[in-house]
Amino acid sequence: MPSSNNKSGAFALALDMFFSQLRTMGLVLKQTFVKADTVEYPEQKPYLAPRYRGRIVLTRDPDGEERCVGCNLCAAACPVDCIALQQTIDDDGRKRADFFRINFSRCILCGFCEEACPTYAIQLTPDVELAEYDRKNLVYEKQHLLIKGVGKYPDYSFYRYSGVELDINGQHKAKGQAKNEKPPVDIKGLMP
Amino acid sequence: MAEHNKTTNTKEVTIYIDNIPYQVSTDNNLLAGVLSNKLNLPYFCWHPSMGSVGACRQCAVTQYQDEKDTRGRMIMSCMTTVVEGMRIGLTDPASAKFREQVISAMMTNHPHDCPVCAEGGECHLQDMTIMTGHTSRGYQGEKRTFTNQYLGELVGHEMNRCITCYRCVRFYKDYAGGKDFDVFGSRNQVYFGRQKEGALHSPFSGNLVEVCPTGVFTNKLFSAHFTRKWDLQSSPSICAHCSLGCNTSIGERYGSVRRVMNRYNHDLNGYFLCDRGRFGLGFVNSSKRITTIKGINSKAGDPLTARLNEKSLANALAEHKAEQYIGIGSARASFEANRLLKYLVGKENFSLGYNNNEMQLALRHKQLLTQYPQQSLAGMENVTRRGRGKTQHDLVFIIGENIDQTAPRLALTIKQVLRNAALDKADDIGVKHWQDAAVRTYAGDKSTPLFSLQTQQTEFDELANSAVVLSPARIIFIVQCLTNMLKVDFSYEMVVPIQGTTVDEGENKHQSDSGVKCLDLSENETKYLLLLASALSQANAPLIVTGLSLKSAALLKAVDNLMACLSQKSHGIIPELTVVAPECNSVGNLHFFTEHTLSVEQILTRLAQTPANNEGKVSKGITLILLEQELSQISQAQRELLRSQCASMIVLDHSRTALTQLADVVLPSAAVSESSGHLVNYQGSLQAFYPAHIPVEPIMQNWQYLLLLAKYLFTHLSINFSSLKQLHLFFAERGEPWALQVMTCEKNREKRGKVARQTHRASGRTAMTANQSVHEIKNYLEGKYTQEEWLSYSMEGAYAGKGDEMPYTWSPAWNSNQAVFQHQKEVNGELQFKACNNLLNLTLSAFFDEMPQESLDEKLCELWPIEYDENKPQADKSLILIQNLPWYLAEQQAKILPEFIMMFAGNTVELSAQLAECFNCKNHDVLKINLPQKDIFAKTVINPQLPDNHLLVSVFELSIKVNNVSLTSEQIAKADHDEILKFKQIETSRFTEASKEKAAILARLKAQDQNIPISFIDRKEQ
Repeated sequence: MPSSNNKSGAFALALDMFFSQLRTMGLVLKQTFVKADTVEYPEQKPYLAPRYRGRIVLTRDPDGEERCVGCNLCAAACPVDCIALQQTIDDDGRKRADFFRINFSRCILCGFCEEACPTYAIQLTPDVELAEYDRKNLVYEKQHLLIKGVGKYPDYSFYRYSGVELDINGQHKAKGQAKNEKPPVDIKGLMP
Repeated sequence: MAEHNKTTNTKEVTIYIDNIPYQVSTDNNLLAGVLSNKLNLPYFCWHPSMGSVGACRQCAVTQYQDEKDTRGRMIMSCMTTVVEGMRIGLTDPASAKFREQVISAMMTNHPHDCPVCAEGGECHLQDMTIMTGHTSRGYQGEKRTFTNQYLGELVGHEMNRCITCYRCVRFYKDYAGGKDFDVFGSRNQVYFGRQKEGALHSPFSGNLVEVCPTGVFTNKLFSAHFTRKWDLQSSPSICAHCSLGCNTSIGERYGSVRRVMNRYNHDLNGYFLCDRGRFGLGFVNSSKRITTIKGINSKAGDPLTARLNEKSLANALAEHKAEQYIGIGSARASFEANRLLKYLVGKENFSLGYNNNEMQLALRHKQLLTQYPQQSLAGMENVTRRGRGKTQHDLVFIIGENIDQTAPRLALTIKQVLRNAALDKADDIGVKHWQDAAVRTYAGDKSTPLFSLQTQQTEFDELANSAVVLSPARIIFIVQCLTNMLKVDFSYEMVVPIQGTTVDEGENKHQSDSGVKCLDLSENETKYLLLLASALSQANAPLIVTGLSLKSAALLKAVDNLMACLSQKSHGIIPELTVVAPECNSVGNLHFFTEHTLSVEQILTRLAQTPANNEGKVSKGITLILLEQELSQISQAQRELLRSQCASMIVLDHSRTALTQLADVVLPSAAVSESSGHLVNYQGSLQAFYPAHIPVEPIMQNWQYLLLLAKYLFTHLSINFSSLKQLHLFFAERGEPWALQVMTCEKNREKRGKVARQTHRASGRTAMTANQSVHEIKNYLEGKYTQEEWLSYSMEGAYAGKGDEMPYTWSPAWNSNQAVFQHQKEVNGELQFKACNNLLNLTLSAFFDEMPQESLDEKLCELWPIEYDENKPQADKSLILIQNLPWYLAEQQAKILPEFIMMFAGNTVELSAQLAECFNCKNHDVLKINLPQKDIFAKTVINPQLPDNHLLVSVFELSIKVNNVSLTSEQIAKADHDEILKFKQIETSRFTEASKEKAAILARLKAQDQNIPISFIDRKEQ
């Protein structure tokens, strides 16, 4: 440290300060002509990658049917217990969620539900605009969550792989007609 | 007589598992030994109760010759006997890899179903897959598939998921004796199902759901309104559908009851329930439930639907104040509620809702229970004996009780008792009892002698050495003859009775007793008696099963004499008696039964003497308080008489009955799934049940309503407690031993702190009520009545493992009900902590204020005279009506379940060809029977094996409590054309109504899911 009674030291310090001021002004002047990094949100939106963890949606399979089978795995995985649903079996043999509710005022957007989902139904989207004046409006029911598209996984249809009998696109999928399945065994046959 | 007691004492030996010494019992196989030490070893086909067959190869371990052996050889632990000093490896790479590969092979054909499978989350296959470390399916080929079968309304079938462990067929066919389920096919195309599609007949089919390690068999009622096991809020409960008191676990979600699972009780139900218990609880969701208070209006004049307003209740009750009250308890209400009602009205004004005949019956029942302690089901099966050297039953004699109908779980136990002979035979060549396939192959058809003396054909007839179908009077007579034969036999120390003289003597004695004439023994009966008498005199430990369903006090008396005679025999007979009580708390009510207890007839006389007078502010008449009592055995006219003669009628009940329609005030009480208390089973054991969820007001627990009545009607009693615990304390202070027992027991349970009803994995807490209020709901823990409970309505609290009050069965890595072994002392043994064993002390001395001078019989006739004696069939009442409802309708509460109604094929009346000829009817004709209760219609079925004065009716509209009724032939007629049309319409509408009701219930429950009642949670303390 330069001592205070060292004259040459004090002069050097004053000179340093002067050039520092000049340099600062120069830098500021330079930035005036550089393109700004901040954007005019919300008029301008930032780019968020497709796998960004934002608002949760329920997707449909390529046939346009709901992917969610109401298995409850997302609800079990949820660390803040903000997903509640009830499974139901419909007349076409499909299991769906009778109701599906996410309380976004509790959701921490951790994405565990998406990881747990065995049918790619529940997906997180790059939409992060979840601000509301009224907390009640953050409770999303199934109709708010369900989208028309397939989301990030365009091809997968759980029921085409599953062994249960049901209708797909109005057509009956009997036993043995799922992917990678043999026709049903004839248990009364005598062939070895 | 060959010595049957194979005394192989329990021997604990030391074995080395991965070089660590463990103590293992030699009674069971190596797998059980490993599991008893709480080590994780995967298995599928072995079942603690059904033994081993070695079908799945999953429990492989490596056995080493000695310490130096490093290679060892693979053995199947479930097929291996435990030997002192044996060395096995559990974690060695070879056997671990083998077990993983077994799973891998099972997975080649297992469908991609887990998300839509009802077993997911409590699937033994899932658990075992994780346990072995198998993670991804290596096989890329095509999967084998099967078509499913319709197996009835209760059990679903999804055959693709099968891993061919054979447990289902071993349970259904071998263990439960079912005949309509089997295994078909060959090699890797094995199919488990029925020969043809159709409903499973066995009353134990629901156990397939629990026995199956994966999701082949699923609970259809649960699947229709499904939730995962981890989301269920469960409570330890007691089945209220018969007197056995099997332990159940009730699961609730979003405010509605979802399912019932077995809760292990070593002494009672073990691992299995009957379908009436498993599915019957669905009645709590039916639309017959009462959800509003009748007779008390809110300010606007509407019936009170919402929250209970005590002010309007008080105002309304003031109108029903009377000088006198009569309280009628019931055998399906809890012990505490009955006790409280009796305390409120006083013992002179208390009734159990029995008529004179039933009062006599109840006293005989009480007398039998005081003399002969009732065995537990495990005691009968001698589960603990297996290798422990206690005398097992070597003869079963079932007298006048169709246990398939009245106590199905007991029938399952009796089927195991019948295997004693086979097990003994296996002992002779040293085959262990757990070697299931070996025992069945070697001693397959060998059965312990069984004699059945019934009023109808039963499941047991074909297992019996001899079975006869007789009228109740004949049954009593046969038992009396038998007693006399045995008396003579024993007095002469002879083994085989001398036929002619003994029979005559018995008959003479009987004739002089009751003046019965023309009751000669037929050839058939004589043969039966001789067989039975010689078998009984040779038996060491006969098991005699009887019950109250025939409503015959004389039968119980005859059985009492038989038991006395058998017990007196000097050469060491140890007879055991089991009396099947009619309802879940019948034995508990015997505790309240004194000579002052009123019968229905006495109530009617009392009412007639005190005319109702509604003019004054306080009416002069009598107010009747009925606690969950429907008085279904009396006629509608009598019920109306009861109503018209009392000042007012207050009924507490959970479902609509004929009485709730008549009553002035109906208070909706909680059903067993929503209330707490104790039920006393057939042994006299006080068993606690706890609510699975809080009922929605105005539904409240029956004792809570009784306390409100006490507050406004019985002000002089100054009852100032508000919880069940305080109720126990109240009666304990009055020196009642049961209350003290219960309190000590509850204290033991409380010692372990708060226990959670929900699993640690329960989901949706912050979303399930968010549609109503986004604010965090106040936890149930703070509720008014729940503060004192040791079970919490949340996931906050410990898991009550290892005790007899587990809300659900779980243990780390074992999510299915198989987890129970982790909580047992040893496999198949008792639970590690047993809070208590409360036996109700029933004594006859409490019955009379002073011992009667005259004989018991005379006293009985004096107190509760009955119109006719079944020993004296009157000429004009020559026909006898016997109930033959199937097991699923033979209980009032289960009868409400629409699935059970849908299973019912239609009203039938069985009679002999000769009797049918009297009424000029043929098979399938419709008969009309004019009963005092109501007119009933039924299709005729000719049954040649029935006696000629016998009508075996299976009529939906007739309550099971009406049984053994004498009829005149005028009461029966062939139905005319109009009546036939009406009958057919009722028959078809019953099914359609039930299926409509089934759909309506589902729709209502689904709507309710999104409208969980939270009003009671933020309720202001009053």
